[in-house]
Amino acid sequence: MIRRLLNYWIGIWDLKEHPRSLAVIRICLGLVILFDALEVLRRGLVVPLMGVLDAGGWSSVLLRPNIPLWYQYLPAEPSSAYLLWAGIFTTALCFTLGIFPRISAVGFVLLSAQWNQILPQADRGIDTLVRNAMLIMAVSQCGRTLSLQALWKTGSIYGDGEDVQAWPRHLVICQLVLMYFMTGVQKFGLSWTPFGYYSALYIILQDYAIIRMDFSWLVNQPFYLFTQLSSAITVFWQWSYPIVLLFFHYRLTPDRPGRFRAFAVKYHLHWVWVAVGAVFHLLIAATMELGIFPWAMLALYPAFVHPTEWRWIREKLRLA
Amino acid sequence: MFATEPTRKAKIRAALLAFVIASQMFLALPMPHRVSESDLRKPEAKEELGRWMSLIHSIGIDWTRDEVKTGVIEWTHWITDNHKGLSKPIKPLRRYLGIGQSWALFAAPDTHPNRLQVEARIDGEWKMVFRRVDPEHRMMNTQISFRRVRGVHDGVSNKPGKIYHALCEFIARGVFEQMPQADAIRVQMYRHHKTAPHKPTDDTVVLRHTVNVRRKDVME
Repeated sequence: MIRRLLNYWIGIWDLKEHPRSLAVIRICLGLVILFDALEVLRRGLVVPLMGVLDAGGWSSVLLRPNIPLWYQYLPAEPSSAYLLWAGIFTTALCFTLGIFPRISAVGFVLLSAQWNQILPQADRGIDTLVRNAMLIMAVSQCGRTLSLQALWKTGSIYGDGEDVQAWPRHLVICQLVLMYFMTGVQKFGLSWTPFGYYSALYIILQDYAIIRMDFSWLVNQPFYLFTQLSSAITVFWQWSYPIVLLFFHYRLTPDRPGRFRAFAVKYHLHWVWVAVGAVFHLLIAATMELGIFPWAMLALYPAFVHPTEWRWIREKLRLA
Repeated sequence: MFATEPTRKAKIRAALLAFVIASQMFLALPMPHRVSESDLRKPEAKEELGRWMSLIHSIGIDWTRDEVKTGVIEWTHWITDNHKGLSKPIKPLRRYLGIGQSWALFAAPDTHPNRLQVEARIDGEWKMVFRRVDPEHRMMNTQISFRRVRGVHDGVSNKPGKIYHALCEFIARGVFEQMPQADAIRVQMYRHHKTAPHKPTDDTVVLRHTVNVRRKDVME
C-alpha cells in the first residue's frame, strides 16, 4: 500500500506534457507584471516607492538596522530607484518575450524582493504570490514554446514540440489551492459566518480604502441579500478548494472504479471551482481598486488547462 | 501510467518536491496576528471581541472579557513564537526571495475604515481637493489610490511615522503644482464606523492623523 502510494507520488511528478500551458502562464503573468511596472512609472511613483527618504522616496529603510542589499551597494539617490525599476521592467520584459526566461524570472524575484525590503508597505500579498509563481517558472521549461528563445533555437516560435516536465504546472495548481484554502481557513471574522449574518462582503464594500465606487446602496434589498449569498459562496468555495486536487487525481486515474470519479471526469467538475474563481476575481476587479490582484491571479489560471485542452477551448470560444 | 519502476532521478525529484510542498504548507499554517493589549483596545477589535463574547455566553461558557483577552494574548504569543522559531532556518530564503505563504486576505473585514481627505488653503479658506471615492474631488487620485500607495496610508497606526509624512509632502507638492494659489495643504483621515444592516447604524466619524504642509516647506 505504502509502496503503491509512493510510486503514485513519484509518478505524478514525473509526467511530461507539451509546454503550451506553462508558456501561456509565462506570457500572462509577464504582461501583468509589465503593466504594474509601467503603472508605477506613469503615475510618477518610481522614486517615492523605490527611493529612500533623503532622495525623495518614502522608505525609511536607511534608519533601520537591516539595510537592503540594493542600498548597501548603491547610493541613496533617485537614480538608484530608477535603476531598480529598470531592472524589474527589463527582467519582466525578457520573461514575457521568452528571452532567457528562467534567468529573467530569478532576476525579477531578487529585484522584487529588494523592493519589498525597501518599502514593505507597498508590497501586497499578490506580490508575494507573483514571486512564488515566478520561482516555479524559473525551474520550468516555460520558454520552450511561444518565445523568442524557441525561435532562436529551433527556427519556430512554437519550438520543437517536444514534451517537458509537467510538475511546474502542477506546482502552480498546488500553490493556488493552498492559497485559496488558507484564505478561507483564516476568515475568522464572525461576519463570514451565519453568526454575523454573512455580512462580510457588505462591510468590505464599505471600506473607502479599497472600493472603486460608493456601495452604500447595497444596504437595500435584494442587494444586501446578494452580498450575503456571495459571502457564503466565497467561504464555501475557499474551504472546499482542495477538492480540485481530488478531481485532478480522478483525471489522472479515469479507469479506476467509482461513479463519482466517472461523473467528475465526464463533466470536468474542476471547472466549476475554476469558473467560480474567475467570476470572483472579475467581480473584485469591477468593484475594488486592488490593482493587479485579480489579473495576476487569473494569469495563473492557465495552469488548470492541460496542454491538450487548448484546442478544445479554442473551438468552444470560436463557436461562442 | 505509473506501472513502470520509477527512475532514480524521478525519486529524487519527488522527494524534493515533497519537502518543498511540506515546508510551504508549514509556512501557510494560519498564524494569528501577535495580539497585544493595545491591539485589543482598537474599536474594531473591541467590536469583534464583543461578538465573540456574545457567542461564548450563548453556548453557556461563562468566561469574562478579561479572561478571553488574556487568553488571546497568551495564545497568539505562544503560537507565533513557536512558528517563528521553527521557520527560522528558511528565514534568509524568505528575505532574499521575498516568498511566503501568509494569505490572511480580508480575514476580519474592517468595520472602521479610514477615508483619506486632502484640503488646500487658498486665501485663508480650506477647499477640499481630494477625498477617497468622491468623483467630485479627485486631485492626485492617480497616485493616492494606486494599490502600492494604499498600504502607506491605510495601514497607518495610531502614531503616523515618517513614511506617512513623506506621503503627505508628496501629495502637497502635487497639489501646489496644480494650484499655484494654494499656500498650504492638510491631509486627514476620517474614521467611520460601518455596521451590517441588521445592526443599528453609527454615524460617528473620528478625525485622525492630520498633517499640515506649507508651500514654503516643500516647494522652496
